[in-house]
Amino acid sequence: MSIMKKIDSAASRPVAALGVSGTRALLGFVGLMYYLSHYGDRSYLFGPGADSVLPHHLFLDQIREKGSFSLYAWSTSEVWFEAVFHLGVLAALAVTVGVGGRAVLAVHGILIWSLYERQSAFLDGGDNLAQLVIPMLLLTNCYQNFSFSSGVADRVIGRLPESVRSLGVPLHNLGVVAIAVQMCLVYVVSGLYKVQGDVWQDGTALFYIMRVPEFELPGVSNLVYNNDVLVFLGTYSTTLFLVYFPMGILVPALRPWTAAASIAFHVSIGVFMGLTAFALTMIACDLIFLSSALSRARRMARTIGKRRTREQPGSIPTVTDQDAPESDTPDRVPVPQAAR
Amino acid sequence: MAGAALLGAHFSIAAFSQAPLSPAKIQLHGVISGYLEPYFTQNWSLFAPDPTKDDQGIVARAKCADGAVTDYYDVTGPLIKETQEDRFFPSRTVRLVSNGLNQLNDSDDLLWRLRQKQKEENSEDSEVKDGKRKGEIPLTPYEKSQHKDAERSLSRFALTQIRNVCPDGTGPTAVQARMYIKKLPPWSQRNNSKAKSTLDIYDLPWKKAVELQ
Repeated sequence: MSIMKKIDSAASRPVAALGVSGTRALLGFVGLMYYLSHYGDRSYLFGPGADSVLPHHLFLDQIREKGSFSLYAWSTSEVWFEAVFHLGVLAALAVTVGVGGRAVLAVHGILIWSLYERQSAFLDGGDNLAQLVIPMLLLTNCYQNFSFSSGVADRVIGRLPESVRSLGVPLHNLGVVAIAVQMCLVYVVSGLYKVQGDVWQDGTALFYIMRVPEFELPGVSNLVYNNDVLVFLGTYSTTLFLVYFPMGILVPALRPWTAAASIAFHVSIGVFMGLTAFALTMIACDLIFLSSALSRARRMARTIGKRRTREQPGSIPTVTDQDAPESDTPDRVPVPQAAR
Repeated sequence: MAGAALLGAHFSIAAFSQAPLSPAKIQLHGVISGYLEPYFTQNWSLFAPDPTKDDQGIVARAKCADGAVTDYYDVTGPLIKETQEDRFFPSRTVRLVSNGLNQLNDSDDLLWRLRQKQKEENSEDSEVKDGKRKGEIPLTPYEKSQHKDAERSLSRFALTQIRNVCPDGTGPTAVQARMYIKKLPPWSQRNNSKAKSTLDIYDLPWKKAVELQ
């Protein structure tokens, strides 16, 4: 295949459409849980009142110093605070279940940014990644799956001139590539910084980190950090995995394995270290590398489901266009699909 | 194509911002941070190169309206327990302490390196000609203000956590936070049951409650 043809095909077939929808839904869920897990303490942690742990005027100083923006900075009124906070909950919920399309995703992005800025001491790498990825997701067709469509978006798109409409797929692919590059940057940088650290070189980093009470799961973590072999293997495999992540993603045959390893790695971070939101944000972004595997899993689940319904007389199995195979490798799709 | 070029440029800058300290990075600092901050700021040195190893936290005591000073109360402990007991999106309140403690000694890469170098030179010098030490680099205004901000936010947080400790029911008039750093036994001592942790203590100054608002 010539280079021009390759570029053409990369621009005309949407890649990782299923995966990116999963990313959107899971990121929405993590955002929703950020609101809900602090719901009872919202006034203490984020509010404008006298009981706030970060007084509003100091928060304004921080915002000004950073040259940043937050809706919570606009007013010291309790009503405004409650309205913005609850609107944020609704927007996060809508993004999770797939209601309202990309416009609501943009609103959610602004609202969650505002909340992050209100209490920046809370933030970790997961929130940082979510902030960066939400604008990239806006380029993609991340409401194609796991969503409810009102049809409004389709009607709007239908009225756009052909030249504008034809940009949809290239933009989608650009967004997916942006997320992929961002993920590679995250993993490689964090891997290379680990390579420079003494305890990472010694293979003892896991021993030290897992003992810190803030990141300890009592009764379980000690089973790992008191086991020399597990500590060494865990420390070294973490660094090796992070540094070689881009290679695992670039080689199509290794891609699902790399993504699966990443998910397993982050599930253990979530369980052992209690960094649930961080872990799930990373997993959400890894989903873009798992589109074909997800699609296969979904078809398998459907087949099993259909077999079940066939056993019950009276119900007719339906076939939808969503059963079409999904691909995250454009070069391997034999038949061009129409851009949706 | 244009999109791909923009993407390439963006990620080159983002990647450069994550490179180790270098003369080029210092020279381009203004341009790079001017583009990335605040909306594309990123930091991926997660738990690296030197991860947290110590059990750190604060305890705090209060001065009540009648002038009496209370005992120390554990501020961090209950929050850590809460985090440990909840694996499903635990509250992040404990980070107000860990973040404040990190901020107390916040510096930048360049200053850190210079001080490290000076420390090495001083220790070499002391072997050759003792008594003569080069002047240490004083704290920069940025470092001082970070330290002050951290003291304030830690004290304020401690105050909100021990609001009800005064017997007469009114809130404390002043608060003092005490930072503890418990260094757990190192790897080499892992099988030595007699190995003990070492404890460092650092007292923050008394802060009046009204000044923390």
